[in-house]
Amino acid sequence: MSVEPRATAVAPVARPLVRFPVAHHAIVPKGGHAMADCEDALEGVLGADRVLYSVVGGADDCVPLASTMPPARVVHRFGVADGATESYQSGPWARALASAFAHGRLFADRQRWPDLLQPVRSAWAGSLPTSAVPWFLEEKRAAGAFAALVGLSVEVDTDHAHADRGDWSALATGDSCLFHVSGDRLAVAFPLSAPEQFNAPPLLIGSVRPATRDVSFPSTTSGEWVRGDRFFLMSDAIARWFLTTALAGGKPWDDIEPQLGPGRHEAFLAWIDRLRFAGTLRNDDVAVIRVRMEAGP
Amino acid sequence: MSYTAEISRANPSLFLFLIDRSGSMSDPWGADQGKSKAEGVSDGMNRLLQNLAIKCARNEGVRRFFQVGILGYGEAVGPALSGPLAGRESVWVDEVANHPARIEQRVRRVSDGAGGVLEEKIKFPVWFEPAARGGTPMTAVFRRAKGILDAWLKDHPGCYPPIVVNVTDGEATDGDPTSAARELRESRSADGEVLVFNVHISGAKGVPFVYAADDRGLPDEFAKRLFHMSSLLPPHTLKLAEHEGLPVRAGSRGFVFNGDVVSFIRFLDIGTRPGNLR
Repeated sequence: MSVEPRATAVAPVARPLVRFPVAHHAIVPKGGHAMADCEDALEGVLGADRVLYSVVGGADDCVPLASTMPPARVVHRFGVADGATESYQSGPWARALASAFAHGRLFADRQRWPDLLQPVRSAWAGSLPTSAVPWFLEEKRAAGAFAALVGLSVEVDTDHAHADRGDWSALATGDSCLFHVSGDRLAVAFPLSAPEQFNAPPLLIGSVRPATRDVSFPSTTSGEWVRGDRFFLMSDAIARWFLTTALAGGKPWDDIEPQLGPGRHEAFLAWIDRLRFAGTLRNDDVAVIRVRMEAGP
Repeated sequence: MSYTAEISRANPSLFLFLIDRSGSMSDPWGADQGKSKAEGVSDGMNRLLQNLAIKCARNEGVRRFFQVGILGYGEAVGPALSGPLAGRESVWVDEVANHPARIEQRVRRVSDGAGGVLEEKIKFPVWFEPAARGGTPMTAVFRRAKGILDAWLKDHPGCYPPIVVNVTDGEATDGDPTSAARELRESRSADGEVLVFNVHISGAKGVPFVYAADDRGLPDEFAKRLFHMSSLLPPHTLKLAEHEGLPVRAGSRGFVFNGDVVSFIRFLDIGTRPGNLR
């Protein structure tokens, strides 16, 4: 359940440049539910223009898609989406959104947003069972699925003499969140920045184009990263825990970091169970991607 | 903290509706010409059951998040579902979904988005039929409800507290129901006391009193008694009602007096949306 990108052949330097960040992920269904019931999804593509690795929520391992020298400037993209449980086939919709973002097919262009969503919506519609549904699913099917999405793009300039820093940008609709930890400080919480904001019903992206105005255009933000920075993308329950802990003076990034990584899935599950049992984490699906801006091994 | 238990297949909850079917329920009600109170209430209940089934529907079917019971009181006191579920005090929500008495075709008027109105055919499942005969044995129906709740709570001690919604158009004809209602509210799960909400409906003109937080301003002793028989709205319901722009405040109770069709439907919707559905 992790991606430790292999180093590509590079000229020896005193300290390896951050060509590819170190990315780990974890995804866990609600307590008492099977992975098939999980409506959270995540996907990350390192070096999106020349896809090197893709992590797909629910898969056991990363999938090497190609192996190539990266171009001078690479963009790494990560998406976490959270399907609304009560809506119809929201898990596939969440997966479609996270994947479309990670592969660079969905980005914050207000003019083109409905057009960018259209193929994702079509893909979702094409994945639905064609058989007739009972009366109680008819309305739900017509209304479609709804999901929150948070996406992070990290730019790395591999030729630059100072490739220890770069730009990042993010988009979000709903209550899936991005946290940027710089040094030992929470620098950005996006799009929600206070725990009580999780109480309001979130605006979500629908899988059916609304008859009236499509209000799903995401919020956006951007910033600069420096070597050693960490990004966390999270679905709402774990994001709320993270934010609450940070605002109370804690360092949730230090708590979650040791639970992520190759061979850590069982440890992550046990850690999530402890948080749920203690009542500090709501029993909900959990999806996390952690990106550390260090050179991969 | 109370009223925070998750509602899941492993930890389901219970809705119990106590519906007045006394003779006076045949009087006309509200704006919908030609409809009686009994018909308005049964439309509201059928729509509520439909919404509950839809809410619990997942891709693979309807999940057993709730049991639902409807007790009628009027000529008799007892289970009031029709069709294949007749005679059962409470049933699982997937049984509700799969066994309506019949499915009617109704017409709904919707905006065409260009200033016009379109008529749309919709399916309207029916489980509960209007009836209006006899007195108002409210005390007896509360006592009957107590038996159902006790059995449920014995089997589901950690559940989100059952919600009892009593819908009536008049005073009890079998004595003061106050103590019977109190006994209901004193039943509890580990997550809190049973919630008892009272909705009084009326065809008379006049402003409905909704979600009152004290009994000042209520028109008579009957209204005050019904107010004191009603539970406080739990925190998440209060928040939800606030969010929907309803006139709630700290101390608001699950209580409607002189309710018209709109306040009745609104109340059913808000009052039966527990927060933590998994």
